[in-house]
This record gives sequence, structure tokens and C-alpha cells, in this order.
Amino acid sequence: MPDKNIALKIEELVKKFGNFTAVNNLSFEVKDGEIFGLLGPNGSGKTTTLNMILTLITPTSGSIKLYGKDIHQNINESKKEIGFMTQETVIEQDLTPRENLEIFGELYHIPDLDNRVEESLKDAELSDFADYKASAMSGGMQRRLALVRSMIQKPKMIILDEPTTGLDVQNRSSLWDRIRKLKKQGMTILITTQYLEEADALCDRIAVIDHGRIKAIGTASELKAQVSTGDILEIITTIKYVEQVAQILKKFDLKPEIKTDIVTAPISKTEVIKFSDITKEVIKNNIPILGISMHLPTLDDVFIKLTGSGLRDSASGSPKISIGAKK
Amino acid sequence: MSKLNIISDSFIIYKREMLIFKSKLRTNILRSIIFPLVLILMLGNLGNNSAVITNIGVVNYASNPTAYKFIQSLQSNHDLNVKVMTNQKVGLSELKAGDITDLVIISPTFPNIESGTPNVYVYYANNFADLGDSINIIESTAEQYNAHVEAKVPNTPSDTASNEEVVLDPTYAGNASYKTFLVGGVIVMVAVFGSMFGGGMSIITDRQLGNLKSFLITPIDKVSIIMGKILSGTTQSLIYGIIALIIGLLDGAAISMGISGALIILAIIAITSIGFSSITIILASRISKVEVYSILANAITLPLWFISGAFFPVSSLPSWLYPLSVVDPLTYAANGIRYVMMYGYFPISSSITDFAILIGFSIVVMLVSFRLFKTNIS
Repeated sequence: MPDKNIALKIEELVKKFGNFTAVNNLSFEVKDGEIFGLLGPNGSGKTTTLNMILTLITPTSGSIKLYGKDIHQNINESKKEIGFMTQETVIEQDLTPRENLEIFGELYHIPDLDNRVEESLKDAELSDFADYKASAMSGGMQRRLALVRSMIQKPKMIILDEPTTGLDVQNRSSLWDRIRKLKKQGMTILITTQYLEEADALCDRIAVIDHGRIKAIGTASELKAQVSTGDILEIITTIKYVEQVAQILKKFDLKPEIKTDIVTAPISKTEVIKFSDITKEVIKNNIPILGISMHLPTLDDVFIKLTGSGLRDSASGSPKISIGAKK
Repeated sequence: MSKLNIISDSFIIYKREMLIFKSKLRTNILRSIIFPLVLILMLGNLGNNSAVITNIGVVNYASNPTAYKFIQSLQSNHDLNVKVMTNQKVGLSELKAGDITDLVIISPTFPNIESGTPNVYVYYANNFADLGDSINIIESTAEQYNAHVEAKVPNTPSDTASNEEVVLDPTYAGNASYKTFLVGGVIVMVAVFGSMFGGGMSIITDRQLGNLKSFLITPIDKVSIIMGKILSGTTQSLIYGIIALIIGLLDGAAISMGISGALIILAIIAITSIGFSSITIILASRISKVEVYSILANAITLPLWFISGAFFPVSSLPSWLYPLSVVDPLTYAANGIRYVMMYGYFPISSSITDFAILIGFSIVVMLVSFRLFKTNIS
């Protein structure tokens, strides 16, 4: 008997391309009405997994069930129940928002399409721009249009593949609000993102995937707790002095990591007393300190710990914006 | 998915493609005008107002002073280079070889006129070389000597002067001008270009931009995507073909067969475009870059166009190239259009051949496109 609280259930999913295993025995569940984040570096098997959920490719083995039904055995039904918004702003630039919505509404054979289109335009706050070419709209407006278009058929679940990539801070925040609103309306949301603070801010649960396997799964707090028993010490200096700072930290039995001009090291609760001594030692060596702080581990730290690299480092072609909100 | 859904979804894709076409209508129409305009106005009017010297041959069976004066009058015309020949057989072989474009036969009765019997015959090849309006010059010169001229065309029932075929290729014949000849070829070409750049090519950009993925996650069948693209490519080809035809007609070309001829031309364009739109699907299924597609599309269409006899009759092709024209579907498209435009009738045997080959070609490439698209696109 399928559990009604489980929207998506992936069990022992495997996808092989020749000798290469893109997805390796992957299993996870997305609960009904939650925002679930799927994080992974390039080549981690994230896109292949999404493509299998979207029925674009067939799994080598394993199963994907949407509300208890195998999606690959009910392809057309599943397609109507899953909405998808890609990381690109995939709307037809030469068409108006109304035409964009109508075309996709017709493909889903939606009855009373005119009303549904009007409703979607209103949801996206685009009623006043309904008959202008989409190319004339701002990036944020286009992304709102893409979001309502992906839900034109009123799906039960929506997959957002890096939904805020390329958006400015204001539009990103606005889209976050819309995603939260969708959750309040009962929509199940599966989101992939390269912005770890986005996952931190939006997702109820997060799965970190690498080499086609789940590395960790849980709430953001649970994941952070998994990788650290304490805080993170962070010293910002100039590139010239990072090695010297790292040596000082080693003297205090810490394990420093260097990222350009920042040296970080996990520091346990019992080691916090070392903080003032470390500071004194750095000053004594005439090392310029641009910033020194202690904070809880971020998802960025979690990601590095689990996958061996920063998510952003592995996302080719993505905007290089600082990530990792300090908490 | 029911067949009805596949068809109705095809029309949704068709609608989308045509909306995009409409959104760029001005650019598309301008682009479609330039090509036929340049070819028809410039190439089609070559020699009209310029000093093109045309080689003609004269066989003088009259051998009287008036006949000599007539020949001198022809020789004095700066647009003609007159070569006097010993007999009709020699003249006809030179005409066939393309060394001369017109052959004037002065009959023994010249300048006397017997009732109903011409005393000057002009064989001509209405082909690429005949740009200097030589027939009009010959006829007007002959009129000065009260000659009764008959322009001889191959295979006409009244052609009793010789049993020889002057030219085997029927596209040489008829009463039409080179311009009409050229317009038929240009229509075929713009239609093919319309298909190649308006049909499946958008699959590549759709794939690059993610639109194709957006379609594939809907319940649409891939066959509907192909059919929608082929339909839109065909519609665009028809629009471009009609524009080329109108330009040709405005510039003096003619459709001898009238309105029914125009409908046959549209049918030929549509069938040809279905085939070439399907080729675009095949290419787009295997190619991911627009640049590569453009190179390949040109590499395929341009040679096919040239060997189809768009500029000149296929019989003028070198012997090693001629067999290729036989397997070129555009040869049959161009042939069909020319019959309608130049002859005023569509011979049933030829129509069956032309249409059967075009339809067969279109069905085969369409089936291949279905198969390749379904297996290669995911």
C-alpha cells in the first residue's frame, strides 16, 4: 500500500551509459508538500536522475514512483503530474507570455485554457504584459513566466533545476518567496541549486549526491552536525601570508584549509580557548589580518567535506558569486 | 497516445513555429525576396539592354540576290555574329552542339511566297545561350524582305524541314523565354531553402535553448514534433515560392497553363518541401551546432539545385554529371514547374513520373526522419 505522505520514491535506481555508471543504486524519498534539495557537483548524476524522473531517459534498473505509481509505466499520467522548470529561461522569446502559456496549455490538453492562462498570467503578475514579446521583459519577469508555464497543467510536484541561476539578488529573493508560497499551497518541490545558501534557506531536506550515490541526506542542520562537532575558525589575510597563517594554525593542532586569501579550520568547543592565543600569534608575526571570526559550519563546508570540492568550483559556466551565508 | 492526438499536437507545434515565423515576418519576407529578386531581375534579364553578340547560322538554299541581301542585313546587325553554312544538317549539328543559338534556313522559294508555306525557317534553342533576343532580330529583318517566317521548335507537328531532333531536352523547347525557364528553377530553390532553414533547423536551436526538453516532458509524441516542424517548413516554402513566382510574373515570366498551372506549381512546391523539411529533421537529429548544419544544408542543396537544371537544361550537363541529375529530386520538381510555365500543358506521362518520384522521395526521407528523431532525441 503506497504511503500517501510520500510524493516521490526512488529505489535502487541505476543508470548506465555503456560502461559508465551515472547513477549508482540511488534511493531517496521526497515527502508530500516538502521542498527537497538535490545537491551535487557536475557529473554527480544529478541531471541523469532528473531526466529519469522526467521520463526523458529510462533507468537501467530500479524504480521511480510518484504517489505510489511507477512513472515509467504511466508515462503520460506522470508527465501531467510533474512540472519542470529548467535552469535556462526556456520561454519562447519571440512569442508573448500569453502565446507561451497557450502553446503549453494546448500540449497538456487543458480544458478551459483561456481561464487557466489568465490565472497563470495573474499569478506571475504579468497580466499587463500578456501581449508583449517575452524578449522585451526583464530576466525576473521571464523567470516568473517560466515558472507558471511549468505549472500550467497544475502538477502535484514541480522540479526546479537551478531556478535562480543568473538572477540578481532582488529577483532571486522574489523567486524564493514564490517557491515558499507554492509550498504553502501544498506543492511538492524538488530543487537543484548551486547556491548552497538557497538550499539552506528553502529546503526542508537536502540530499548530497556524488558519483551517482547519496552521500548524505537530512535537514540542513542535520547535515551540518554530521560534518562538525564545533565551529569554523576563519582568518582572512592577504594571499602572501596564507601559508604562514596555516602554519600557525597547525602549531595549535588544527587542520587548516586555504581558499585564496582565507584560511579556515574546524575548531571544537573545547578548543575555543585557543582563539585568543591564535590571534596573538598571528599579530606577533606581523601578519595583516583583514578579518577573523568563528562561525557554525555552512552547507558549503558540508559539501566540501562530503564531495571533496566546492559546489561552485565544479559548476562550470556558473556565475562566480560568493556563497555560504554565515550563521 | 491516439493518432488523433498525434495529429492535433502536430498542429500545436505547427502553430508555435508559424507564430515565431510571423513574429519575424518582415525579416523573413525581405530575406525571401532578395534571392529571387536578384536572380530573376539580374540573371533573367541578362542581355536585354546590353550588347550581347549571338552566334547564328544561315543556310542559303535560295541563292538569289534577295537572299544575299537578307543575309547581309543580318550580318550588318551588331548583335549577331552570322556564320553561313553549307547545309541544314551541318547547321543543326552546330545548333545541337551549342555553337550557334539560331539557325536560319532560307528556302529555295525565297523571296516568293506560296500560300501558307513559309520561306524562311528559324530553328532556335531557347536556352541559356539565347540571351540576345536573336529571334526577334531575325524576324524583324526578314519582315523587311516580306518573308514568311516560321520559328521552328523541336517536336512540333509542323516541323517537316528535318527529321532530326534539334535538341532532346524538352526544357529547351516551347515558346517561353529564358526568364520563364529561370523562374521555374528559382521557385524550386527558394522552396528548398525555405524548408532547409525554416523546417527542422529550429530543432537545433530548440535543443540548445532547452525548448526541446520542455516539449519532451509534456505528453506530446515525438512524431507530432516532427510533423509540426515539417508542416511549418512546407508552409514557409510555399510562401517563399509564391513570392518568387510573383516576382517572376511581374518581371515578364508567364504561366502558360494559367490558374490550374499555378495550383500544380504549389503542389510541386509542397511535395518537394515535405521531402526537404524531412531532410532537415534528419540533419538536426544528428547535428548539435547551427554552424555545422548551415554548412551541410548548403553543401546538400546547392549542388542539387545546380544539377537539377535550374539555370540551364540538364542536357547541357557534362556526361559524368548527367546521371546525378536523374537521381536528383529537384530535377523533377523543376521539370514539372517548367512544363506548366512554358508549355501550357502537363503531359500525363511526365506528370506521373515527376509526381511519383517527388512523392516517393518525400515519403522515404520522412520515414527516415521519424526513425532517426525518435532514436536520437531524448
